[in-house]
Amino acid sequence: MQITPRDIWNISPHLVVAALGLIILLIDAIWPRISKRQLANLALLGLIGAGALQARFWPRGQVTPVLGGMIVPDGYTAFFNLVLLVGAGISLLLSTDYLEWDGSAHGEYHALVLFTAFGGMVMAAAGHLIVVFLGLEILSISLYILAGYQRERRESQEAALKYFLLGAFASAFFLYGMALVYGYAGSLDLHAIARAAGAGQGAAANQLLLTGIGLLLVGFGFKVAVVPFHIWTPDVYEGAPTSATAFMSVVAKAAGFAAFVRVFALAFPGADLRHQVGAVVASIAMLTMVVGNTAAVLQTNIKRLLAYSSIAHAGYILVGVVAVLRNPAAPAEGVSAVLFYTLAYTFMNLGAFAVVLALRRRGEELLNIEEYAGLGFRYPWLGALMALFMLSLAGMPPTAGFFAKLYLIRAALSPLVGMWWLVITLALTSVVSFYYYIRVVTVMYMRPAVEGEQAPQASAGPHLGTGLALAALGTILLGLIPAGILQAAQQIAEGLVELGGMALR
Amino acid sequence: MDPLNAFLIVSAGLFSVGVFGVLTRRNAVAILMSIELMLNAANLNLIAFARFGDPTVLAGQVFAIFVLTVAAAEAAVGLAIVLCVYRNIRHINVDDLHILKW
Amino acid sequence: MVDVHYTPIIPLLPLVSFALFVLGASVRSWLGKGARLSDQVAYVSVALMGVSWLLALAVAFDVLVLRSGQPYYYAYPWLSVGSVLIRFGFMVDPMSAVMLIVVATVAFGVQWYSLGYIAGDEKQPRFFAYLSLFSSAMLALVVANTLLELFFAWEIMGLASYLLIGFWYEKPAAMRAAKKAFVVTRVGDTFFFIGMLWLVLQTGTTDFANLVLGTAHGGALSATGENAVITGGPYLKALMGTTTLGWIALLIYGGAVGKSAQFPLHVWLPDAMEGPTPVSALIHAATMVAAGVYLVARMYPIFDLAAPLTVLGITFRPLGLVALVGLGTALMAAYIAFSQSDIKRILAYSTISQLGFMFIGLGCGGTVVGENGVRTFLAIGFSAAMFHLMTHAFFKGLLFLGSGSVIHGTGTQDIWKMGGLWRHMRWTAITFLIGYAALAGVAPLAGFWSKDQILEAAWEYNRLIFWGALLGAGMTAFYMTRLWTVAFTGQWSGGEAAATGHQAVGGHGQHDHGHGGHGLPHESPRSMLIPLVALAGLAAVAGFVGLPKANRFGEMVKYVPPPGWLEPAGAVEEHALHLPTPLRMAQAPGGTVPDSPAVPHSSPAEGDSPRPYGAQQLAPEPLQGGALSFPTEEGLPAVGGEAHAGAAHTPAGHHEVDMGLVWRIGLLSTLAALLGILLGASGYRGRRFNFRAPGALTPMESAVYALSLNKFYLDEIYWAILVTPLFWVTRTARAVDQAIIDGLVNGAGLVTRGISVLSRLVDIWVVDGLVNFSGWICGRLGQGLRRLQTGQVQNYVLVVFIGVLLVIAALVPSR
Repeated sequence: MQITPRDIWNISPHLVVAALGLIILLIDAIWPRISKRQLANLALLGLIGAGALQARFWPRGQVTPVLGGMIVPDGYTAFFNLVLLVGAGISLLLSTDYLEWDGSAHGEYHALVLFTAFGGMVMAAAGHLIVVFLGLEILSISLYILAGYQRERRESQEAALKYFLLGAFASAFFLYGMALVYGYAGSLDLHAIARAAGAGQGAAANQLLLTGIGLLLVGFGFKVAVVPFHIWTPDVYEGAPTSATAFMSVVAKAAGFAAFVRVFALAFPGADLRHQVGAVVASIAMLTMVVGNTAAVLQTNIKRLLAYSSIAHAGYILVGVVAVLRNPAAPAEGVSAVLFYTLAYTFMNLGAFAVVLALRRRGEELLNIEEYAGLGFRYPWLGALMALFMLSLAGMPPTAGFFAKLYLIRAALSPLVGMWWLVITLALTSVVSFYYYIRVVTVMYMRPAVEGEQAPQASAGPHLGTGLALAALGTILLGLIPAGILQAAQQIAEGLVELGGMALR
Repeated sequence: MDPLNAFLIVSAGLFSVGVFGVLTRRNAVAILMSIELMLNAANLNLIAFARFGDPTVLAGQVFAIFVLTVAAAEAAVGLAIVLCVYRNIRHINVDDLHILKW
Repeated sequence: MVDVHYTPIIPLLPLVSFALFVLGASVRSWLGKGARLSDQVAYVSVALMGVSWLLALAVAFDVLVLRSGQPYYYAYPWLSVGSVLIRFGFMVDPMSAVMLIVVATVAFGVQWYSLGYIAGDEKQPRFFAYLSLFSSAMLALVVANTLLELFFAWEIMGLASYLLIGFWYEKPAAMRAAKKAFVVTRVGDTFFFIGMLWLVLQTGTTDFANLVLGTAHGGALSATGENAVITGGPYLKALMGTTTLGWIALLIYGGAVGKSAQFPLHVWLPDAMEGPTPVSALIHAATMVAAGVYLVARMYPIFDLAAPLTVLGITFRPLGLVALVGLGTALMAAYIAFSQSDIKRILAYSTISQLGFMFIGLGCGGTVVGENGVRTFLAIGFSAAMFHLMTHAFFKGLLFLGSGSVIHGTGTQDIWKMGGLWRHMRWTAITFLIGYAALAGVAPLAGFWSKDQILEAAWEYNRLIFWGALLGAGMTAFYMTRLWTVAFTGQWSGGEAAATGHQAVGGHGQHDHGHGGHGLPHESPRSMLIPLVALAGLAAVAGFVGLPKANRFGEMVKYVPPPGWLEPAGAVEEHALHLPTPLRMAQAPGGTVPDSPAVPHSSPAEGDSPRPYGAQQLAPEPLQGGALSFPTEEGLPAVGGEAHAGAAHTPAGHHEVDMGLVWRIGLLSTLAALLGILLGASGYRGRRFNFRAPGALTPMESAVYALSLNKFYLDEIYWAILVTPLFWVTRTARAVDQAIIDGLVNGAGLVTRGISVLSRLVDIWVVDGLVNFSGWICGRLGQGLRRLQTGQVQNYVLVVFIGVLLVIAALVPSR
């Protein structure tokens, strides 16, 4: 195998992000006195550059794999890479103020964010299980460190240890699953697996393959936090530094689903097999939606609430995955629904965290929802934006969350999927979700504000303000004029499906 | 007995020992070691499949080497986290880590 | 000249005033002056609403009179969902024109009234901001051109309603009521949402012009200036006569049940009376709650053209169910109103009851299949319901504003603490009397005409429903007379300071307006009285547009089944399913077709066939207003291929009026009203009926009375059916979880822990007893799930491991 300049050019966005991470580490080591804000600006510049390089592949991309099929620079990769870059960029904007306030602004934070994004981008582009594993580990190891970033805070340490132990445990299963799939197919290349698993009807009854698929499901399920592999999520979200929580809530989810959908959409083409796997994924989706939404109702800590909400959203996205698996006639519908949802979720969830990051009370973070009383009138903009993000997360029109759900339900409602109960569950659990999202709005707008010493303070510097504005803009625009993105998502999804079809021939 | 099966059985046994260790040990370092056992069980599988499958394809062996590298990185980070925890609470018994719950 | 092209501005103006409020508050807070705006800004809101009202009148006049019913339609491409292109735009047909008048008038009146009512309240600017947001959403709902757009407005309206109910959030009851309203209506909305998506999947469009509008001769609208009527649109052809359509209709009806407070989702509306009284008048009497009726009327062809459904061996047509639920709701709510003592709650139950009447009207219209398979069309029901919607909006808005004036003047909401108001609040009393008489059905006030039309529709459809509705009319007269007699006649009984003999039972101790310490009741300021007088005028005369002999209203707002539909059932199926040629929609002269695929999407398989994405579909088309957008006769042969001329089934708007029947029904309903009034007046004059005094009732009677007083125990029943079993399940599940996890990980200590869990359970059981209904369910479930989150790493590891085993077990066939 030869590495041509063309290959390098095709993976240039990945390289830029990784190289920049290293450069920032280096700069920070050489000039330890450099302003961390400058480092953040540098990282942002790099992310924008990588985004510009990536935009070249929008929306159809390159269908010929590079590096011997390890990396696929197609439109699907481009979409998720851009989502990851946007997510990482906004997260960086949100974190500078917080880190300075917290006294933990070190250069390596920015480098770690970039490494995490790099890991996610590798996962999104992977055409080979080894690459999926490497991407996953780069992402995870960076996130373990970010979770424990506040070295003096006991919660942060506890979160990091929990995340690490459970994450390593889950990746062991993941790896074992890959080994089993390898044993069945004799290859780790997705297309080669597809050729082996698609031949004849034996695949659907092969215990080796099915166990392998099951373990892959566990690995991905852990990363995107679906029940019962969600169990780490609330603790880690609560314990990790808030800026890191915001970051991991969107980036880990997007990267996880990117690899999840690509592997399951391409590697296992047999209709029987997909049907069978689809049924299991559907059960997990239902469980996830029910557990995530009901458990969120009782939370009093906003970070924990958002953790359960993120679990619930993972459940919704899984409904799209079910549509991919069980609708052989038009899997692209499910794929595009997942794409759109991931993007919408990135904006609205980061927005919610941005508001949380802007608030303080007596030198501490403002995390108890009850303390948000009267915020809507004290800080009209912050309050209105928080209400916007909450309603969008709940799926209220005319926001991004509404179209995201509409698209998912539409994909899942196809009679070929045959899972109307899943759609009913989705709809009913979203009713439940209204209950806890609206509670935040209720507290902000229907409780008298606390004055004096105990009053919450908001501070949004230029970085945080920009991040907040970007998230709000995304949430609103995706709700008002979603047509462009919807079309692109559809095209990209069709491209992915075509690619799968081509490989089988 | 099919030699491949023998390898698979050993690997499965090793994996189970690892899982058992993770479930029962209270010491964070011991849990980490058990996880390493699980990873190595997977490695054994990869190499066995590569050896007894198509011997011209080296994907299994290569993957195993990657896994070793990744496991080393993981262990380094894991031990660093354990160290940090130890600095904070002067022990590494995971049973007593439960300020985050509900 | 202001004409239909001004339609988009109508919902925009209140939105602008909402934006001004938010912006102003932000700027002030940014300048560090505190976010509160001065009271004067309310005038901006009222003025903008006034302009919007004038525009609405002009547009409605243009559509109804100058264009004689030809609708206005204007849209541009907005987004595509899969292969479905959705356009964003506006549509005003005669029905929406009528709604425009109603909504804009009541909204303007209420804003004006609120100037006086809310004056001096600290949160006054906020109040007007919310009102503006609501008005904007409601007006947008009325002029929406697609179901999706309607749904958008529907949801925003729900949000505004939530904010307004919880406006006085210092009262915990108001906050609870706001949340309850929001969540309960969401249940209905969920069904609506799914129904809408299903409809899109089946037909490939949400555009009203494609789904439900056509000319009197069927087919799509033409540009020849013909009256538009609601009928089955071209895209509905393939679904006509199928049960699928029936299920879609029922799902959409679910949304209406929630919003229009029909049984069993009506429980939120009485609680919503915790909001300020103008809000109750605007949202919970005249406009928003009628949106459900409007939705069903908008989607009427979908209800009517469906095949009867069979559930558990019972076959019914969807509209029949609508009528039955309506009747049940009407009677139940009227019965509950008998015993309530809070003036606003009485009116709230009256609203629920009257909404039930509207649904009876809708349900008693449409097509009925006889035993021999012959389809008969009942014309009157549809327009009767819309007529009643209009008159009800006026007189119920009036009654609520009047009650606000009463509360303002007396400082109490309990009718037993009022009395003799006729003497102290003359203007309020006169206008209230007009509203009361209109609601009770006294000729010739508005309510009489519309209610009689509904009764007439019921007579034609089903005699049982007719007698039930007649009973309901009598009951209405009774409870309104009770309210009138107790509150307005006799002697002033001293307001809140009165002796505690008449303690409110179902009511709540809080005032609506918060300023106690009243002496004698006093008349309200003029700004509050002017809207009262205006609405009283409307309540008196609005009925004359729908007189039996000269039913101008019915000629404009009507539903006509598509041609061919009334032929014997078997033949029509064939007719509907095999279109002679694919529909071809040509460019109308000077206009574009609303949405012009070559073939209507008839089946999911067909719907899935990829339609090319392309610039040509999404490029904005030249913006043109007016009566464009409708294919000409030439471009679209009358749908179904053959011209429809058979006089035998002429479903045209000229409904043959059987004057004999009209007289008989008029007499019967007047009789019922008189009976109710006499009974009420004689019973409550001098407060003879006092069922709450001990020993006044025999045990049997008091059981009957308690049923009414306690609202049929529905809240309690929901509690018992939905909450208690769930509690038991989660409690058990929680204990089991705990036992298994701890047992496996750590066998020792189980007993101790079990005991502590149990004692904790008891604690929660007692403490949480008061948690609000819906939160409760989820709360219990959440509690159970939360127990999994023990904080112990190894418990988590175990959960993950069990998950792995479950996934493998589910996936791998056991052999």
